[in-house]
Amino acid sequence: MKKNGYLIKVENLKKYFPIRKGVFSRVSNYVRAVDGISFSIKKGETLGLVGESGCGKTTTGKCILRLIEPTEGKVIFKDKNVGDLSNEELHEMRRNMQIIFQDPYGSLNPRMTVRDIVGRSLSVYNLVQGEKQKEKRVGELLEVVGLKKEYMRRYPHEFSGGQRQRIGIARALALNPEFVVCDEPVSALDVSIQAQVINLLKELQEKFNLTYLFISHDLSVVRYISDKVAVMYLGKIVELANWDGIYSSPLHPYTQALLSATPIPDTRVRRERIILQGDVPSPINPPSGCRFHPRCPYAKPECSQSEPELKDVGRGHYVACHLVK
Amino acid sequence: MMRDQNLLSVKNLRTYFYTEDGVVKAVDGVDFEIKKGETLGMVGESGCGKSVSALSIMRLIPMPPGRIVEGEIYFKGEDILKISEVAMRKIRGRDISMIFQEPMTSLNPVYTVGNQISEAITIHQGLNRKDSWDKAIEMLRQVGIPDASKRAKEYPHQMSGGMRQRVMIAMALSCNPELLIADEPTTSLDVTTQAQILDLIGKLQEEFKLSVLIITHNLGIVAEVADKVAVVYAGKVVEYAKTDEIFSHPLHPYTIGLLRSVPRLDMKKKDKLQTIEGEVPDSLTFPSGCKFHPRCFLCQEKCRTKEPPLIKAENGRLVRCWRYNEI
Repeated sequence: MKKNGYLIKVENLKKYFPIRKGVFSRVSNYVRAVDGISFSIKKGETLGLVGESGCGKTTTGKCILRLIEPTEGKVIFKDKNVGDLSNEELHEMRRNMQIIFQDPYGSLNPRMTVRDIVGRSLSVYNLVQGEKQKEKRVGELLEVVGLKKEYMRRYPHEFSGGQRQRIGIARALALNPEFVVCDEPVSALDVSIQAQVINLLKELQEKFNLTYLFISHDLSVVRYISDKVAVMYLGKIVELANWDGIYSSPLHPYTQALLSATPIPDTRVRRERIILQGDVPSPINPPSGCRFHPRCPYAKPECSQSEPELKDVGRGHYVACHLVK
Repeated sequence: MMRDQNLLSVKNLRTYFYTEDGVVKAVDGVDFEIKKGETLGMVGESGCGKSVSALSIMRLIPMPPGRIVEGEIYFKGEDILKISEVAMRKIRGRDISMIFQEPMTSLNPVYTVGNQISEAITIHQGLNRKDSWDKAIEMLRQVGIPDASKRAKEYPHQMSGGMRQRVMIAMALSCNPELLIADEPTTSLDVTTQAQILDLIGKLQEEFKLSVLIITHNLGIVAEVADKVAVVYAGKVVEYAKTDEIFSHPLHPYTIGLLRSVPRLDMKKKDKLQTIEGEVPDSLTFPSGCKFHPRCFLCQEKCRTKEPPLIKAENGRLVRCWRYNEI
């Protein structure tokens, strides 16, 4: 990897899920979950990926790690295309790429102790010799995420939601990865616990020079943790900019609506709320042209005909909208 | 009832659950009042007793294991904890109605939505089948469902989450209630849909002169819609005040901590989130004294042993803290 270069680069990533019908399971159509997105993340940076449910955020995260196979496109991690790797090469690569899941209840095996959950990858990659060494390393990891060493003999059900999410983080960090996909890591947590986990993720990033792809539906959380933000709508990135650009001068009508719909916990702040009409359309038959045009308050005839490109409007601010010149 | 103008007033409500593991004091001292046309926001984290308070008002607590052990709930001057189940059934759905967090599980999957709405109208207003069906369609139109006469014949699974929540609202408002209890009405929805639903509740509230009790964990929603706020922690109201006052000048250490720990859209890059140490206590093993003391930055000896009452502070505000005036 070059100095100041990109750690990870995603080019034209697509994931179509086939819909099968009938006796012969013929493919009748596709769910276009992710439909041609590109972005890159520099080492040590956090890219926030925001959007509403069903817009393809999680699918993007999983495609990058090849937890599901992308239909098209490239994911270049440290100058290697992840899609071209053989199974052994992928196995090696995964040491450097980890994921933290949303649901702290579903993502930990209830029949394994914390020691086995966190230490499993250490054994798989032969990084520790013997139980003693494994326990030592697991103990260190638990302390790093703010849990007591003694907890390693317990099972997941003995912990609260926030503590479980810390276990998930310890597991992701066990192999000293460079890149971590955080898939809605705080959505299932209570407000007072959310802040603890977000601050922990920030501290760990500084300490280990981690690079994050931070997936969330909550713009306030993304604002707090991200250097850059990408807004997704129906499988496409509609706006991409550094955190300041997105929040102080949003250009895409969808970003503007999303920001105005996010409540601010302060009665002294009064804003005009933009209320969008209708629901998010289905990704099976996305609207023609710009996918947002049926709900867009500023839609013009051209918006339903041709699809806008994601173009640079200066200072690293990208937007896909016909109305932004 | 005209004496104190309160549509609903809840006094010292305590609802316990008698389980095999012990007594769960889910609600252990909740007090609040709602005037006509007013919106009260009830905020707190999971397991603090918000939903159980709402279910107690509706008298929908499963008994056993639950029991309302103490307290009074005055609705239009009458203690509804003392009336018969038959009388309560007339109030429920007609004078007080409720919408729930998960619209999918609170609608019946085997009946059309029109059918479910008109059922309530038939029961409470005595209209015949055709009239109540027409009224149901009218309600669907009012909550902004396009093509209402066609959508009324659809089943819940054919609708999106936002649409289902609209159906719930149509059903709740079909009998012109005076009080609407909304238990996390937008938690399972996307932000743009959430804005639509909150906007709708606000509009209907003006139109129908509704009083609303909105239960949520989201401080942002409270700031936008509520006139007054009750902050709940471990089954108790810990602070009660006008919304502006809560946000500009919170008195209870828990409220202060909560406000500092929420990431906000208008934060500066340098701002740091402050956290409340520790975990939300388990309702089987609440700490002694003030329930918040193990996590409190102001904790003193007195807080560990003696539980503070709801103390009257300036401007008629209420706060459950021994040291609030030192903040």
